[in-house]
Amino acid sequence: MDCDQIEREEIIEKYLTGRLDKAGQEEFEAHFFSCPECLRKLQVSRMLQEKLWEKGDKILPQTQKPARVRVGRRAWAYSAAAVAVLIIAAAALWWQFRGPGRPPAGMKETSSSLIMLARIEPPSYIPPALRGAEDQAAERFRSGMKLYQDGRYGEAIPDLRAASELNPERPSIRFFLGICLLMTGQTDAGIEELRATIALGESVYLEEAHFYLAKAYLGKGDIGRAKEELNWVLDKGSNLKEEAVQILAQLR
Amino acid sequence: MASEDLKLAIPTRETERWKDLALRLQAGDAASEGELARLFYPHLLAMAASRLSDRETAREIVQEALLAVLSALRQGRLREPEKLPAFVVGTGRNLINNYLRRRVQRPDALPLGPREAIIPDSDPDSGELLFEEEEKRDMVLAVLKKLKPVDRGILFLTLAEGLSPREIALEMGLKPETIRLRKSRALKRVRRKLKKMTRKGRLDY
Repeated sequence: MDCDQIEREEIIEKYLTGRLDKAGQEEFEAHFFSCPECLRKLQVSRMLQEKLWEKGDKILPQTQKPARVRVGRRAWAYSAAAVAVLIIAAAALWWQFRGPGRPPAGMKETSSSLIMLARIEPPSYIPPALRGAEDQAAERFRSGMKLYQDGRYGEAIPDLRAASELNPERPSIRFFLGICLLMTGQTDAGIEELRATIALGESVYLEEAHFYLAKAYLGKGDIGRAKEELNWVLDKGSNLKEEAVQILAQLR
Repeated sequence: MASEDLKLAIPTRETERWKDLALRLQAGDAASEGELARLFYPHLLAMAASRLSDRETAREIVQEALLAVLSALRQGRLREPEKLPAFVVGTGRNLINNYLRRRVQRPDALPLGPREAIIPDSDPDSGELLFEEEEKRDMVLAVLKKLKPVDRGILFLTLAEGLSPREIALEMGLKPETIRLRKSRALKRVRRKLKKMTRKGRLDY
């Protein structure tokens, strides 16, 4: 890893936002310990990040608050008003940044709303009480889920992938691997894992897999497929029905 | 990648420097302890603060890392003294990872021993440094406020929300390349202005 690569691949931003995998993190750390220029860039970006967390809502009054204080998925799912407020705020933000008289070419007016609807709040995970000896896949899964619980989705992927290779038939592994991939912007790979979760048949993750698949399709702008998945939740699901109704209403 | 495999781009002159420092520390030279802290404190703090997103805990971990390095050196556990920087990175990383593991099991728990009291300070003028640090944070805010709203928005979505240029482009109705360019220019502007405003040209992170 060299300074050009760090600049070109936006390594500092990825490092600060937990979007680098473990190997990338270690390579970058080895680099900036011997590169004063990259250390300085990291220090400035870190200070900026902290200030934006602290003051972001004051210096950007139209935007939503930082992710760490964002309301949980399930909390806002039950409030149609909250969804509406978010969409209006996002539209206002989009309009403010776009500016009058500068319409972006080929951009539909619904893009901002769509992005809000596609935004993923990762499902919570509560580890089960351990009973008896664990197999190797379960060990890797547990290790990956510790990172997941800490919000380190990129770092969780290698463990979850290894667990999935050891036991591809376990829905929990495929599901959380899919979520981690979506959280790190690897939408196509995430979709593949969620589809695999669904293909495994009845499980406690089936409904959520359809729901997050819908979110992933919304992220890709594929409204047709997103609707199919949401309609599945509407017909056969139970926990996420209300949320699916809200999103379908917005899509209409 | 294991820490032993880390390839640090250190010229030969630097290698000799690390070897010399490690041997002085191993011999118990008290003056060299301050040198070790002064040389690696900023790097360790940048790493810990970035990984933990918590300035105070990061400081505690850095102090703990410096102590662990000193202790290991005194016990002759560093077999290749010229690889001192890689050893410091590895020690810091292990402590950060241990802390994160503990936090998963027991939220907000950070056991710190009584040895804190004897930790060598990174700088004899630490009071002045803390004041300067606060000053720099105010400068960052002032520089941020001088940026165009669109650039502030891009930095916010990048650093605070963790969105990629592609996601920001969708959100703001601009092209990903435009986002990359504006972000890169905004960051350069911030760095340039901070450098001008900072007397020593040095930041704590």
